[in-house]
Amino acid sequence: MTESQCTAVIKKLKPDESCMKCDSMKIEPVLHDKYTALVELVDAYVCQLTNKKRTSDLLRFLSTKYPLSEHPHVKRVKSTKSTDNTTTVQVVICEHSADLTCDVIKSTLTEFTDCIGCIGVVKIPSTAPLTRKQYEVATQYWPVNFYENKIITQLLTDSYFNYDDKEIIQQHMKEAIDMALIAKQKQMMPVGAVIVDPVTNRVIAKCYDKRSGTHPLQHATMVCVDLVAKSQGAGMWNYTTDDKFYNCEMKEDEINNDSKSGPYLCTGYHLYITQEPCVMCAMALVHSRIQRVYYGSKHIEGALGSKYKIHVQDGLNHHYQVFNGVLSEICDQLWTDYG
Amino acid sequence: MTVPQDKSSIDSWMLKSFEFAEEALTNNEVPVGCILVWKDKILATGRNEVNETKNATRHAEIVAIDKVLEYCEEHSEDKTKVFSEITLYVTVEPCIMCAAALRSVGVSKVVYGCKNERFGGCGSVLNIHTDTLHQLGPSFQCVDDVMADEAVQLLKTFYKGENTNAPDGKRKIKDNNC
Ligand SMILES: [Zn+2]
Ligand SMILES: [Zn+2]
Repeated sequence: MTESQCTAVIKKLKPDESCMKCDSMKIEPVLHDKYTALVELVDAYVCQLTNKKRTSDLLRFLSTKYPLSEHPHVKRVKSTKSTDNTTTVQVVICEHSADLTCDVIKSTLTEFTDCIGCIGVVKIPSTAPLTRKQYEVATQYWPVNFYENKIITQLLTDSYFNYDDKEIIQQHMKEAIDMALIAKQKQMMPVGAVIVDPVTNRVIAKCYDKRSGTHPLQHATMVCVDLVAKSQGAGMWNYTTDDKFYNCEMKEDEINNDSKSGPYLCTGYHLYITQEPCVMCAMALVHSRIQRVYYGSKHIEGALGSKYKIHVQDGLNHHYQVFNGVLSEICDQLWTDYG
Repeated sequence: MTVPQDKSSIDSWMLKSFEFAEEALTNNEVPVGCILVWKDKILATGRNEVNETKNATRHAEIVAIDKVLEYCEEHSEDKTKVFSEITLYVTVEPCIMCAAALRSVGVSKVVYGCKNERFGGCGSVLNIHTDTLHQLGPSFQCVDDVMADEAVQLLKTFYKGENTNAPDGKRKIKDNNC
């Protein structure tokens, strides 16, 4: 299908073209849950410091006697200025625990009895904040260190992609939609996939879902990964020209295994797919060492945000980035009057 | 567990799977082998072919599933029925991908050797075999720890040498934790 045909179909699917405008185009990161988690708190013993000259002595003592090794992000000292301009200084002694009573702690602090007030219990954040939002919540309880990850901030504030990036992403997703439309004509599931080398924007492979044909494992992702292998002169499945799949053909010097820069599986590649991959496909992408996935529609059993987050699964040795919502209205509409 | 064989026949089927794991090792592939048993006969066999095909999904189970599909095509058998009557014997716990593949074709019984701590989909990393996934396919039962020590030994032999197919700079991929 040519570019203009695709655009025509998209127009038919979505007469209101507003979703095709890059500036209104949604591209949402699918992050590990830890970036959106609420700030967890634990109880800690604190004391008021009445003689500030002895701050450093006390801190030195606490760092050996009660190291905050479980909570290295927590600052020991909290200074609060009251309305009459006097400053109160509180110091974290240690995490609260049932078998460590106030009296026990007091008995270990005898050399500081002249400079500390009574001991109390406060809530402190138990893990380091990963986002500015978590940081702001955490510091309402107690001062903590925050090392801002610029990429995470950009992702959360929708400033990771510029206009040109979004246009390119949209173009590749349109190619995936083209493949889904071919599938639809063939009474196959309307899911299309494209694998791209983002450095050159070269399309490495494109295909659609063939599971409803003769092979139940030929999901779009599985086929696309195999077409990448084909582009490197190998592969596991056979296809016919009637399938209208595509894979580029790497030159001999490009696929030479001795070369340190030669292609290896899907390393460095981006997958564009109209529907969220299932858990088999998401794990196939881990094995294939894909760098990034963009998908359109969500799926109830999808493994890149809906049912699982395989791309950031703890315990797996390769993680990849995932973005969803790309031309999702059109990807959703591919399913109307299917089957 | 309702895998229909007694312990000694389970072991003898597993022993057969080891032949294919060893064949993988000889071919410089991760040594995992499997057989699919149907009506008390071996219907299909498989071993890792990842390096050979340059396709990281070419695990033993996928290879064997492909062969069953070919068999059903050739002999006009109902593939859904055949898969539902099959028992898989595999030297290592199926990974997350293969566990999902086994569900999507409808294999209902799996016997495996050692745990797959890195990728296991039948208890080690995730429980794909029993999680609620109606659209993917029926859940399946597992019998584990059948000749596990032998399977671990084979894997150790492989990992002592390195996967020579990965270019130097790409053996250790830095995790992108978002
Ligand atoms: Zn899939
Ligand atoms: Zn596997």
